[in-house]
Amino acid sequence: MSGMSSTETPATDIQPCVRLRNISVQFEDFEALKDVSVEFPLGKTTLIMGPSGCGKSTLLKVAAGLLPPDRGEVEIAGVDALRGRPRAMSEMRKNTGFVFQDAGLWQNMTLFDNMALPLEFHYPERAENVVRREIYAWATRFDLSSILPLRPSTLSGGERKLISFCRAMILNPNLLFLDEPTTFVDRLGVERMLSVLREKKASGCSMIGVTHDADLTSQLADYILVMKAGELREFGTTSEIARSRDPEVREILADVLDEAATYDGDILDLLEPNGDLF
Amino acid sequence: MYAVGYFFEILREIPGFFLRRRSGLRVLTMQMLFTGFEALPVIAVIALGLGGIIVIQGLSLLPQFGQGQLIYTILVIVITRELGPILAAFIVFARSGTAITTEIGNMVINREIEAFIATGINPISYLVVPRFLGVTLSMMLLNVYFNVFGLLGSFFIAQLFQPLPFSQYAAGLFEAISGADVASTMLKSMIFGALIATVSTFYGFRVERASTEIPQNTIRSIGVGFTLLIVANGVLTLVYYL
Repeated sequence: MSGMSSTETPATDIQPCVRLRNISVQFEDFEALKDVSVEFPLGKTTLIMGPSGCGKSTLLKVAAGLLPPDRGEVEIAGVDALRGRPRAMSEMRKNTGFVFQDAGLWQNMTLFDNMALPLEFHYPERAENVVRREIYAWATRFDLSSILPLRPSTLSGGERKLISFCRAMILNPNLLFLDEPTTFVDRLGVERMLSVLREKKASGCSMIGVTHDADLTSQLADYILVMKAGELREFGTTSEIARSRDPEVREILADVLDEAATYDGDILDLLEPNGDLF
Repeated sequence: MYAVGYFFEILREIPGFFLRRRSGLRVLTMQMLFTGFEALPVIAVIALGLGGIIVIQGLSLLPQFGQGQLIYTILVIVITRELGPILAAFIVFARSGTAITTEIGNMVINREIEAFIATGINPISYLVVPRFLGVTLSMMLLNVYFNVFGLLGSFFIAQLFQPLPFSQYAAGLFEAISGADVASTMLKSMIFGALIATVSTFYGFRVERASTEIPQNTIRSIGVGFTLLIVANGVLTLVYYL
């Protein structure tokens, strides 16, 4: 797959959970995504990597159907995200979760209401005490129960991120989008997050994420998509990417995962810490 | 055409509100509190003032032509059929319409709308429909309130010029007012409420990236909203006389 152009669709044998075809996104004069085509494998974790400003979050939002591209087609779980019927879209969304880079919490609601709303909206028949129990179960897991009556503006960046994570999990999604989920979160919070994500992965949940976190990458990634300047530079399994001979890809990974990483050994350690790469 | 499609999208989402009452009821209640309840004092002052002015002018001019009884017809035409609904609509637009545009615009900038979409919550269903119902219901109730204060206010002002028993005043009013007048004023307030909610939410969603777009879109919504209210008022008045 080395040296693949951004217009090629990477060949995976696995059925895709999200299919993007010839996606281009323009922000005024800046072309954020340039004719990107990619199929994210179903039931696998794909992490998007690349230098800041290369279009990772834009690609993630397009893949999640949150940002309509200027050109191209988006298919999420078999539903045309740009022209799909509202009912099919709503059903599809019910099974997806998104953790925003800046948390994306609803500012005029308490944290409890931030977590309750998706449940109350999608499951209006669910009793109030059941909703409350589910919210407290997630909050307790992250040690956030005491702050549930507060509003987002009073929280630290890490707490906001954890609430955003819990909100994304509350509908028990089988397709999860993660935009820098661990940024601002302390070590314990990241460990708890990773524990949940490992469970989701084991249950067959498809995950697509953007991260600079080496732990997240080493513990979760099945596939890695490397981007540069709005183009898909390389896409493959972690082993394939770690073995890439493309010096530019290796340089990007070294920069993204660990500035101290060198070309030869450290990237492989980061991607395959158990040493079962070869 | 896009705005028309937006309006029909709101109408299409209304039945869903009643299925998901629990999540939307909070928004509806808050909207009615802000649009309806908190507007009561200003509506009362304007209605009393308008009723008073009509009575002062009417009672000083009409008897000179031997048409003193016409004061009741004028009160009904001006307060109930014409100025009541449109003035209440202007007040509601100035207070609540601008607030709605600003609030939704801020939600767009803070990426809160993206969060609604990401969690499968249709922003029109959750944000717009309760506001649409809240503003429309509030508008209708405020119109009734405007009429009560406008017509009662004119009675108290009339006492200063030409004291008369309330029963006589009420009888004169009931004789002048018809079912068509009541239907006309309620229909107008309902349509005005729907217009205010549609225009103000529409312009809120037109904000895209910069916070400077919020005041720009608020100003646009006021310009378009007031124009549409005046045009709708003219059309409905014409229909009344057809």
